Amino acid sequence: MSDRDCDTIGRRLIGSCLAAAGAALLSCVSTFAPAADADSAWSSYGGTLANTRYSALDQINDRNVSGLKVAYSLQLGSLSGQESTPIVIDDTMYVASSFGPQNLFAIDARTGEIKWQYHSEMPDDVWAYACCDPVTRGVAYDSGTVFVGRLDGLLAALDAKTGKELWRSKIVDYKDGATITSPPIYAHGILITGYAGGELGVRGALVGIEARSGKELWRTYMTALKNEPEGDTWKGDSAKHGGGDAWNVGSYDQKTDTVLWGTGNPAPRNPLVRGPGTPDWGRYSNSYTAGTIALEPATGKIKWFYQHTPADVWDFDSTGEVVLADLNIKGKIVPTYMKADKNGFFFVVNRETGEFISADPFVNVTWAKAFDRQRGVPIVNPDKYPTKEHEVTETCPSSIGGKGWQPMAYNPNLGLAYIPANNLCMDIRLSNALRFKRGGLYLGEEEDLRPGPGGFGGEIEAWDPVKRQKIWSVKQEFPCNGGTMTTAGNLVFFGDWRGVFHALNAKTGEDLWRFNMGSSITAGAITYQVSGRQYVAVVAGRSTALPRFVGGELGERMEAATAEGGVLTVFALGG
Amino acid sequence: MLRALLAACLFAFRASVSWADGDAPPLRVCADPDNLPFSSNGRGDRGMYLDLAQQIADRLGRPMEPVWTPLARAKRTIHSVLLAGHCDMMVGLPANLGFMAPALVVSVPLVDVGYALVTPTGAHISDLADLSGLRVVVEFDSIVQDFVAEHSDITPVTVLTVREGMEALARRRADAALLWGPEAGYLNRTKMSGAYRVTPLSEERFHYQAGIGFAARNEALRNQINAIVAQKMDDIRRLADKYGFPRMRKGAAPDGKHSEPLQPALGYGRASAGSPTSDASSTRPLAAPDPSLAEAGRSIFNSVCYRCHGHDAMAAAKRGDLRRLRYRYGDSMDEVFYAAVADGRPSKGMPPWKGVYTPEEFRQILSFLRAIQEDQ
Repeated sequence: MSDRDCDTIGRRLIGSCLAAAGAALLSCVSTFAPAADADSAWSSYGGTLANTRYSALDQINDRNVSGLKVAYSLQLGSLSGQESTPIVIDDTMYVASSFGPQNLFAIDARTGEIKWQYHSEMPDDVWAYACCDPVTRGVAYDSGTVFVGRLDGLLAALDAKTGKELWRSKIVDYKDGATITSPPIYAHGILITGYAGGELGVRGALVGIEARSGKELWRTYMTALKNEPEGDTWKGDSAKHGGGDAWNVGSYDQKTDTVLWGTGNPAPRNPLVRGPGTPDWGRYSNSYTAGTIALEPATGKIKWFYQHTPADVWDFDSTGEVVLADLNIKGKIVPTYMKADKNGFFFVVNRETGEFISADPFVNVTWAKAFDRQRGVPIVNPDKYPTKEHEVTETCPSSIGGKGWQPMAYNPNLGLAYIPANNLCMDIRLSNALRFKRGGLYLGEEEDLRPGPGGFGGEIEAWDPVKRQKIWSVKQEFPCNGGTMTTAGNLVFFGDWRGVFHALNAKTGEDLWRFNMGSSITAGAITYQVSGRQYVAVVAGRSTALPRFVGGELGERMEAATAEGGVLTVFALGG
Repeated sequence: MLRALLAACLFAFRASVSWADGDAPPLRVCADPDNLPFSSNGRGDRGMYLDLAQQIADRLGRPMEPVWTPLARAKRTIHSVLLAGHCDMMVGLPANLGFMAPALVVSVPLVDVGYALVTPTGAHISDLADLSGLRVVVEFDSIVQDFVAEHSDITPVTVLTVREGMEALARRRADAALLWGPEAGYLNRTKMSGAYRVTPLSEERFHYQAGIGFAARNEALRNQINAIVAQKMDDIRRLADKYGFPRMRKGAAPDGKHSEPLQPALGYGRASAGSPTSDASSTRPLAAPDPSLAEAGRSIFNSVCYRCHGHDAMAAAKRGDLRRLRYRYGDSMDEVFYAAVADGRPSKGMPPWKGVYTPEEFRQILSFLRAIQEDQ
């Protein structure tokens, strides 16, 4: 049994290894994720469901990466933000385009030859309801079935051999302003998915679906109503439309059978609707928004919740990916999750108990002075807390986040996380401006983003989660650079806003190789091995929305830096 | 050059006469397909905004063609549909406030739209002060939700749509509702047999004047339509009545000329087709900054002008720094102000504001600027 037949996570160990004969089975026994990263596949969005974006492949390494050449490319056939991470199972790659996805391809991972295409036909008006860009971050896979969350609020299952749709299930109504932009995750027969749309009054939830039928098993909401546990963390009836939407990708810890997910910020923006509207939020912390939630996949029952930004008023979703790794902290191996939060703090939390370990600023932070070590809550800077009477200037980071959805990677050999960080601040006005729905318009200009100090837009940081400090950093002209990926070959790959794809020395940050893809790269890269050859792949395509969110002179320069596009490019040594 | 001139003349000529049969290009009107009483592609009412667009198209001698555009994310829709040229105009945009200027230009104000207090006809609730102790329906993420949040003696019943709010009233889950007036008025009339009283809130911050929006490059069409609607104000009022838009208050005219004195505030362009330029130019320079005038001006400034000139005119760049007007222009400061603000400086991105603000509002803004001048 080859490496690549043994997937990292138990589900495929059970699926493929139990079927194999006795002796081979032993070689498949795996403990928690890092060891299993030796797999040559890239089986889910984050590499494995630990979301480390680490690969143990080292055929391509710091000594030979300068010989990396294009093996093939694939036009995705759509424009606007391309945020998808391909997955590779055996010799097949599944890659999604933007718009729903408009196109989903199964290709030969060695040549790019198309095996099948799936076009998710959806109503014309879907885009009008989607926040931001009409993106799709990719697909999930298990036992011959590909699962795709669609912008129109449906989850679909496809035959991995033919692309034929096996079932589709309505998760949420897009006409309520809710969309699915991320792939579900799979845990022993159950798919779990979230959706976006909190700012339009949608109540966020995670939903459990039976993988073979598409039947809904459970739905756990990310806000707590009055009669529910934690219901007293919301003022009035605000939890009913309280947001907290979990729109990014989840993680799964097989050892404890726990699903972990980042949750969105509370809605509406005005904190006085949800609590006292001051930095002393008291009991009105607005559970389970802007934090990390742990659930049982079979039932959706909440195991624990840790809130990264209580009673948020800055638009700090905590939807960034939850990266699972065991860290050696003061001589003890601790099961942790790590998250480089939008709020600018790098969190290390015990993933089995939800107990706070540390939070340290990885970018310029002004909204909070620090995190209280005992209680794991922020010490808010009252001057940066906006109310209707108090406009704030230069709150940092901005609502784009110290880090956005662009995923980070963690290299267990080096003990370093690689963060695509943004250097932006914002001014916030919670004005009395008239706003209304549907009948027309939203008139409150609430935020102005502005460049942070230091004359750079962003940086790629190597962060030591145990020493709690930055080890090196490569400054970037623009914010919103691409996600990172790291390998046992002492490499970090990432793409920048100009569309240049880089390989860095993982220990030092030295730029070892680059290739201009011609349109901004925001997605994270992948690597995999087929027929003894290692490949690196990444999707490029500039966001329409991000430069407009950033706005001003910087936003104009971001728009001018590249055009929109949509292309997958795959590299190998010698091309 | 000559060709462009000819084309312009031809356009002006053609626009001023009837089109030959079948020759007229359609007037493409962006409209939400499911948004009564404003617009609808259903079999029943077409909506106030589409009926009005039809009347305008008739006067232009052009067929009216709706371009169905859901407005769930309105600003983005305006960018990607109206400003991108997929339709010629969109009815219902704020006719003042400098909304999305300078890319967007808006007609004269046509109709007042705003929030209203909705109560069972027999109830003794007539204004916001009567809501204490009651359960009150509010729309999510709205200025009325903010208002109720500021009053701990009111229990909010939060809804996403006006229809949901009216149902909450009907099922007695709430005692009163604060809802978007035109929609509440329409539902009350068409679905609820007029069982509720729909009273517009008198505070100006809950209202704005709706007009017709155009991409800036279609200013010629805007001007043409301004001339048409100026003669149709009575028809417009009749349409608004037909669709149940609550009247702002007794005696208030549809063009915003209030018969009762109102607090001077942002949002009430009393502008009409004739602009206030002549009034503005005859305004006497003020002897000294008047604190109350300046404060009103500051309020306007920090709602609209700040987008380019900075909060309290504290702009980072020297270009456009309005604290240096006296330093630069000395005694001509007032003249420069009126010329630049009324007519704009299109090449520098400054839109014209005549017709948007009243002479009084111009005076307020100038008064504010006079108060903040610096000498270096």
